[in-house]
Amino acid sequence: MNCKKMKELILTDYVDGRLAGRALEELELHLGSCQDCHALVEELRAAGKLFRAVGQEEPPSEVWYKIRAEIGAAPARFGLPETVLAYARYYLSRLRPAVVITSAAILLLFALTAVRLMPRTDYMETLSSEDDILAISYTGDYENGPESDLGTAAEMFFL
Amino acid sequence: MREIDKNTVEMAASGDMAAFEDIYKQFSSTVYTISLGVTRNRQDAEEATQDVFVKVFRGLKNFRFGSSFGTWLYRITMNTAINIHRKHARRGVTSLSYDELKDTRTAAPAIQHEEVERQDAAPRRVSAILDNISPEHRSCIMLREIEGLDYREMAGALSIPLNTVRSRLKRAREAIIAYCRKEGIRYEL
Repeated sequence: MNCKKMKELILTDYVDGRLAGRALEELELHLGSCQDCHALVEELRAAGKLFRAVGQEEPPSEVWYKIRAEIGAAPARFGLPETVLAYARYYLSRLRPAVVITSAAILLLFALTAVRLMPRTDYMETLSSEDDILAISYTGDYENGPESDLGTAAEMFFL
Repeated sequence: MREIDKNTVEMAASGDMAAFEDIYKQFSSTVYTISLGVTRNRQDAEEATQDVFVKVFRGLKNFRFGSSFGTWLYRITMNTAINIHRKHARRGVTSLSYDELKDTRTAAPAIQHEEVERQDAAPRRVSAILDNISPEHRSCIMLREIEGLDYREMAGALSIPLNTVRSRLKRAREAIIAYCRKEGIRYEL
């Protein structure tokens, strides 16, 4: 390859890291013996570094307000189910796995605590609760003592 | 090329302003910097940035992730910035020098003058270089050197074939080297 062809490769594929294999070997061999091409590579790399050092610039904040004002009047273009679904997907997607696991553990802890604190529906406990005794008292049989008057004909039959 | 979460795009498409603001926050400096690079005028760059995001908001409902969001955004930015630059160039609005482009809010007290000069050196030189190459070459250099896009991404953003990207980059770099040699512009930071 002649110098002109080499320079074309240097200006594009070589400085952009797109050259490989035999072409790359050939060019690097050429760079070892050609001062001009070597200097061009150095210049291009330094120029690239200069551009990258400048970086990006933020627009003034009023640009966002102008955008908001311009699109604020835009009518809704999607139905309610699509919007709700999209919202759910969006907010779920923003949750990190750790947050999801912690939330699930807290919910499980709440559920277990609630189950333990729930009043038991055991028959004897129901009978001994004050409310039930009170309810029984309304039947008029409580006057002679709760234990003696609880018996019925059916119970007597099974005993 | 930076990409964005698909759900954020879908939310923004459904009209959610918080999601759209997320998109704006992630890409506004990219859009503004490219627009400033192409138009060489702060007012035009602001106008371009505004137009780009209004177009993005209105076009989101038709965006199907067939191409990347980044490529789509770069393409809108390039077209919008070039059109605004052409429109204003026809009206005789000229590009500004770096000192005119520079935001007055960043001006420092006189005591820090030397430090400011040193920090300003790179942007000032880049600005001078960009002022002296064509808008086509500017857009290529901005996408490659500042945004770090590869050739395929540049082809998508500029809507041109891969070979054209290559030849434009070659000519842009030749122009930069020639200008810097002629004006004695140093590359060191």
